[in-house]
Amino acid sequence: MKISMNWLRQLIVVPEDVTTQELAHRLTSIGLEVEEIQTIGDYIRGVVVAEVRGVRKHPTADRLRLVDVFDGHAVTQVVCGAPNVPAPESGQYVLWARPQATLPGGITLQAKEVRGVLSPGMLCSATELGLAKTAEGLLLVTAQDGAVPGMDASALAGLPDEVLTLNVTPNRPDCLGHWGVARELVVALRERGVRWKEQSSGLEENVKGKLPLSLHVEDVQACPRYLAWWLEGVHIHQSPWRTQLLLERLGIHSVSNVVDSTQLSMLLWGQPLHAFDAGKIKGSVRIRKARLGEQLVGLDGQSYDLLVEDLVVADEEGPIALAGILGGKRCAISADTTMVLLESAYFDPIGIRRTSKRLKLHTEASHRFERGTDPLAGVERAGWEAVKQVCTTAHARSYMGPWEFHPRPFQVPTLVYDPREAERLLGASIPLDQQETWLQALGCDVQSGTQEEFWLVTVPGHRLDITRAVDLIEEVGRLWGYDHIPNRLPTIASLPEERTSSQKEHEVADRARDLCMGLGLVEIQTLPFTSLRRHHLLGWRQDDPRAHLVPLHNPLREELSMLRGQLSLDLLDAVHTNQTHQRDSIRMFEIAEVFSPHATGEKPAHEQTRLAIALAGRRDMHLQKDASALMDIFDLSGILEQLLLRLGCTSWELCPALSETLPWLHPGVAGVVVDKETHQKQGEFGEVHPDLLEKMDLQGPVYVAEINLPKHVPDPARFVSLPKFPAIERDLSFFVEETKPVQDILHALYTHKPSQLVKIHVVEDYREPGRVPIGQKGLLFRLVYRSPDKTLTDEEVQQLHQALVNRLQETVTIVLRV
Amino acid sequence: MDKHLHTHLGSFQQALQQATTEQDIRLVYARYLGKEGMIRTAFMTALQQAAPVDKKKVGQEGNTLLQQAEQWFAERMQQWKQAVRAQELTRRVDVTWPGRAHVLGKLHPLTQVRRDIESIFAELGFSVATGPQIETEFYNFEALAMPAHHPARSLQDTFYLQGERWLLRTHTSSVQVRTMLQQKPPVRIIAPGKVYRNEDDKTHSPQFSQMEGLCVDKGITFADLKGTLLHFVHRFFGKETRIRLRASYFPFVNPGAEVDISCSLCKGQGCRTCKGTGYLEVLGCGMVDPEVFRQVGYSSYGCSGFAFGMGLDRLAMLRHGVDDLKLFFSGDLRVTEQLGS
Repeated sequence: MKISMNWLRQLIVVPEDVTTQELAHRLTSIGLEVEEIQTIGDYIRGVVVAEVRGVRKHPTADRLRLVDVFDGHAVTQVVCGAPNVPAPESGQYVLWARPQATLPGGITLQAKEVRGVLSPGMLCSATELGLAKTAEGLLLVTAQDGAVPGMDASALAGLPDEVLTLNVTPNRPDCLGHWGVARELVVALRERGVRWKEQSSGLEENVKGKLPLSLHVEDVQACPRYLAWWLEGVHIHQSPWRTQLLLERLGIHSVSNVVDSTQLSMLLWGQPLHAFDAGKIKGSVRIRKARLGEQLVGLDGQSYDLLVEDLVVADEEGPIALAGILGGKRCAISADTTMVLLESAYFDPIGIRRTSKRLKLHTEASHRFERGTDPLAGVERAGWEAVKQVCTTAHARSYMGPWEFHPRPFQVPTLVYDPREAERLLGASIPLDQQETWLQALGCDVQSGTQEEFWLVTVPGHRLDITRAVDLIEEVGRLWGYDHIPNRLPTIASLPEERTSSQKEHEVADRARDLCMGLGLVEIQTLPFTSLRRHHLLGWRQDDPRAHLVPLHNPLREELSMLRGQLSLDLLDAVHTNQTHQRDSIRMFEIAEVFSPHATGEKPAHEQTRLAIALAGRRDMHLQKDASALMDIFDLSGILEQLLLRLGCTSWELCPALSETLPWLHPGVAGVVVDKETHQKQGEFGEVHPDLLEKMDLQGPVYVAEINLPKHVPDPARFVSLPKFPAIERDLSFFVEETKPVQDILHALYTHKPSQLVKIHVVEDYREPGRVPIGQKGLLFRLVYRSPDKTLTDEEVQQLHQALVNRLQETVTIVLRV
Repeated sequence: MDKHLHTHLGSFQQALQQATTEQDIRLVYARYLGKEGMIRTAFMTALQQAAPVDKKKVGQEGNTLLQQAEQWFAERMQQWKQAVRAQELTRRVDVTWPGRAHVLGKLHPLTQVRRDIESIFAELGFSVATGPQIETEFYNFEALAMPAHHPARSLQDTFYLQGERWLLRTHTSSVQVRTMLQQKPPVRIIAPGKVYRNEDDKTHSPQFSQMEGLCVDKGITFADLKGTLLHFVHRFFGKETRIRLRASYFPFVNPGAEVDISCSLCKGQGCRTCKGTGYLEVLGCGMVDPEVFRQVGYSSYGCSGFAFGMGLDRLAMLRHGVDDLKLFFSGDLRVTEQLGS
């Protein structure tokens, strides 16, 4: 909401020592945040209204003319290049910037020669006065603008002015007009001498008569109050120049004197009004819900399809306005309008909001009605103000009204208020007489009595946001000033005895972050939006449930229309980003939620926290011997093994991805993480498929993993006595089928291991032809034996080792090497 | 005999001097003084051949010679060790060569900001609560005193899922509701998390992070809210930071306020970051609205409470002097590497 300081000063007295900055600061502190203060037109000095007395050609320049201007005292010749210099006695005046005048940008004019002729100053366009971005020719004014030769242009324009841009919160529709803002200042700056000015009441005399057309409010729910005035003999023309300028700097496009009158009234009272060309209305007017299939062509020229929930003002031919939102084109005020039906009404906020939202039609009117206008005094005052304006600026011959359609009188709430309650909520003691003064100044009727503990407070029509005693506490609190409330730390009476499951999961995620950091991974965060097309880069088959995503109903755009089901793609995108920055070692992770469509249950999607890792490029950036070595799959599996170990996922292990389809991974370098207790898959990892590398323009090899996180961090470990006796090692070397995973051998060993076998190292995998039979590989394990009770003898170890090797041979086909 | 022993002693001494490695020295020792070494053998032979009357003398003389030989060996070993040590100490390494570190990763600046705030509030007894990102209208709006068609809803452009009954939470205030529905007062939580708004421009990202706080107990007042926030601001931004509260509106608190802090960059003098005002808007807060208590069944407990909410992204931007929010979500490792910890 933009507020003109000049306008405010017509409503209230602001003592000279109260600066605009102070006003703005106070407004901000009581909840009307001033976002900006603009000063407009303070640079225009020395520009006067002048009458053209004669126009001649410039002796040497075809495009220039010599204009005689009269400023009320003398005639002066000025050189002018504009095409629209008015003829003498046309009734149009020019604005003459005399020598020493100042214009935008602080330019001070000097008399100077233009092509051989001395020009004392210049005639101005709107651009030159800084009042418009573009202009065609000179700015012209007339007597209707109040212009008289010799008059100062700033005074005529109503400048300079300061415009405050207020951020008005949705609960304060009363401050969507100058009057409401003035009221706030009178309440909040009473001590600084800010007070109301006496207002001349003017007309506001009901003129009874029969409304020349019949009008019915059919839907009293949606339109509880409707006031109409009838004005005849209006003359449509442009508003005075100063009104146009005022509207423009308050963000309203000036249309014509009648329309501008309704706008001015809205900007004063916060109550939107509408003026119909009564001459174009066919038959009776009804305020009713739209009928199926009805359309409205709005003032904006757009056609709107209406639903039966939309409230319209309609005549016999159909809607002539979308009530409270937009006027229709058919009965709009135009140059030939002579009769006006003026509407001032209260519309139900919810209905306005619903229609405005559906049609994506947000107007000055809908903005106010959906927040709730003043159904009592506001409707009347605003209507009268517009009537007054139309009578003055459009010279209406007569007016009649208002006719009132107010089937159910409004009940304003009377609240029971205990002023001591304010202290109990605010923690500050606010004197009762101060509270009473403020509430009254805000427009409330306060019955405090002398003995009574409770006050009865009746809220005015412009503050229907106040519905409970706590709302009154907020009023006194904000006026007292939150900065004046003391600071205190709340005491702790009790705290929860155990952590919740969500707290535990939060802890796990943070533990995982620390571990990833320790493993040399850099954390990134990405956005969770994707598209089906992008998701399908991963190579899903249509029958794969993972091919489906959770769609958004109202996405920003198609590429962001789905919630991601996997983190990997976003990490790969980040790999790409970093590769384009010529980064040769990429180690990153993200922990975030992924979403999958939920087949069962009420919730349309399942969300789960996952950890994803991506590796690409060199192992290390330091200048070591193996610096140029590229990372491989074992860098990834090593990280995963450490993570699982340290997150306490002792039953999770890395397995070959045999039957699993992981179409984004290289089929030969892919694995899954499986919880061997539940047999549930907890993640997948591997080298990115070369097809995907190519599609995403990635420099391979790139490795990705994506895993679930456990539900809680591991319990503290139990102490096991430290070994007292030495360990003995035995090597186990054999040939086995080339495709046999090492894990199978380890499983077999662990299954049959004697208690004295404390550690198994996988030492070597060798496949040199000649050394190893075709189709086989050589494996070397180192087994460590130790007893907690004694030093094992060679014979004992040999016995244990041999027994284990025998059991191994029963499970796995191996050829022992001697 | 004696001559033999002396000859051997002489050549032992010579051989010791010629041996240059530890192994050689020990070999020489073994050859002369070992069990079957030449000196020992010569001595034993001399002893055997000596007349009984001479045996004592021969034995004494021989032992003296043997001790002499042992001493030569010990000295030679000592000499050798010193030479080796001296050699070792001539070794020179360029210690400025880059170290062979296992390079640690870094945490995202938003993670760091979140954790710092969590620990500040943990000291005040606030525990972390989390909730789902896909929410119903009830938790995100209705229970927070924003029924359908409430004008405040237009302040939060909401992403809806198909059917419009479910949505991506627009604030973590939904966690307030979930927590109060699950537990009785007193409540003291902070709720960090990602939230979503249907907007995407220079200063808005459709995803950002919030931290919501809620404290409900008997006798909680606005003064407690102010004290808590002031403590937080001092700990997070520094103890010289001032706060300013101004009235504002959030449907689920009443009274509601916005909190500005004195600009951390210009110390309140006015700069580009604070748009010349000397103050930065950092969080919204207020006393829990009775309607929220009604919605979660708290009305009968006779409690009051305060709530506050802040944008972690904004705090991270202020902390690091970042003016483009989207850098945080760019996946550019250079960002985390610069700012992360």
